[in-house]
Amino acid sequence: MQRVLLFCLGVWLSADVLAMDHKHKPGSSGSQLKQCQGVATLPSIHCGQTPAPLLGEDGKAWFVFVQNGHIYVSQSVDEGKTFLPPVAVNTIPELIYSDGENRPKIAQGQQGEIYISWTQKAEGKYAGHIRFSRSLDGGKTFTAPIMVNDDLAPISHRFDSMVVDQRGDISIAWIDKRDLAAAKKTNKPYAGAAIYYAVSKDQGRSFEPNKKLADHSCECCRIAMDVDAYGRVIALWRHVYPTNIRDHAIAYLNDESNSASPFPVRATNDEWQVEGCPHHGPDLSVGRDNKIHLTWFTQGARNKGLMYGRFDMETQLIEREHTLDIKGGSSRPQVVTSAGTVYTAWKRFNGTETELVVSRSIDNGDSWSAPEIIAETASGSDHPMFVTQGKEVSLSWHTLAEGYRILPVLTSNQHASHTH
Amino acid sequence: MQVTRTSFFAGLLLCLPMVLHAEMTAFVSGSMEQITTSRKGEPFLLVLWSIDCPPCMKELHQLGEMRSRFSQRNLVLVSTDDQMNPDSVWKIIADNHLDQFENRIFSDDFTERLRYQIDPDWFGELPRAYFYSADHRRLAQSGVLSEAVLERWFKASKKK
Repeated sequence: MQRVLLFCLGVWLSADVLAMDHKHKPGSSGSQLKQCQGVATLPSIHCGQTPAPLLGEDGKAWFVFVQNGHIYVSQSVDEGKTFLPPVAVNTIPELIYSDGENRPKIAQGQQGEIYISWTQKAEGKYAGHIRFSRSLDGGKTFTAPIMVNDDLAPISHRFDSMVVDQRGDISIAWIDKRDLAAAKKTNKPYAGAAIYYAVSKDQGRSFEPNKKLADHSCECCRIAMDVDAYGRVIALWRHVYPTNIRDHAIAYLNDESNSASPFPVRATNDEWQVEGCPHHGPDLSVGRDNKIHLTWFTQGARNKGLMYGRFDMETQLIEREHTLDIKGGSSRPQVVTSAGTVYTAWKRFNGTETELVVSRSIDNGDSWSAPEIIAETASGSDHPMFVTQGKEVSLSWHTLAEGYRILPVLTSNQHASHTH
Repeated sequence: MQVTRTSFFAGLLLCLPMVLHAEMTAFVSGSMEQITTSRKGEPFLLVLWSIDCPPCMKELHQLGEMRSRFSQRNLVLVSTDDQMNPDSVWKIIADNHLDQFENRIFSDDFTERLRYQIDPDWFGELPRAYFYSADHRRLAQSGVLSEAVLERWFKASKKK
């Protein structure tokens, strides 16, 4: 029997090699950079997966990324041009979700604390746990990771999103299937998943009990969060309205009036009826007059493609809907407001290369500049992410051919003098 | 124990469930053209799916239930998962009894190019199906296919 098993192992291994012919090494991003080749590749933001930036004062910046089962944080003192050796956040390696929609987050507290959240892969289909760690010494050391979800069943608690408000409180929201699991046990139908969240009021030492924000969210799209001028945390996510309408919902966290509603306020009205996975979450940024700028993807009856819209929480209406890109292959629309200008960015494929494009609005989203190409790449690429510091706006982008880059985006004034 | 010819082949048979995933072909740049040119003049259904897509599981289950209605050539399944996890991808195909059909898996980091070669108008949502007629005019649909839609296609593709 032993020989049969050994024989099988041989057959299986050779078959595995065949199947893995075109695949890249586990734990690497598939980076094409020379320094990223080989099994013994040192941790580096260029070789790792799903990097995200945090810009601080005096050109100091911290970057989180995933490599070989570790969350790493790498510091830079020149705004991301060069990097200090990375520090492992989790000393014991674990399986970590590190794709475009489901990736580690980095945020800063009021006393310079560095907060990291991520989703750990657990045994079982779609299973995961929300993890958190902090550094109180500027990223030199990190605390042992803690679990944020208080339901520890091996089911889906994934797609974490994190913000810090003006009080310094940390809010983490995620997609949670505990209600779906409960419904299944009693043979009751339950559409999609739920949005849960937890708040820390002690700089990340601990989190308050989990709360449910809404039932029936879509299952595989990132949640967007921001804080408004009054310190209220706002979440935007793809919802499942009856029946199978996958438009977006918006809600304040910690607002008992709309807590756990199956019909949260609808932010987008595209009427996209689909029993499917868009794998494509929205973004939001609170701007002037507390107006909320949204970007999203839809294939609805009313709107199609990458969209922008301006939402008002008072009137609960969306206005100035604007199609950013109607072409297939365009993806990942991002939005940020800085010094009175609204910026949107997205990726688009031109048949040969993926382009990263930016469009600006100096009138709070009423009108938009023609898209301008900031960078391009002829291989695979991560989602782009906006990063702001003072009046400066940049895009964080990891591409397999070029590595990690912080790409400056001209402000509207710079852009005007540049083009005249 | 002497390894005889019979026991060798018996052993190979025992290992069969483990080897089968080698039959999952890589989907790389140019694969889409390969799939269509090798089916010139034939109607077929192309289904794109991924592990991280719960509705795709419903779709695969449905296709598995209707597997006898397809010929070996008129159903092509493409997993858009990357090659990190070919065993899990193959297990889902085998569990749904869809292993007799052409199965491919995305095997190029430049997924934008692969998607473009399949359909420049597609944004990547899943499941995604393309109904090809005999003259290769095609109809795209996002989301789980209903039985009625599949029945209509079976009827239409038989007429030719």
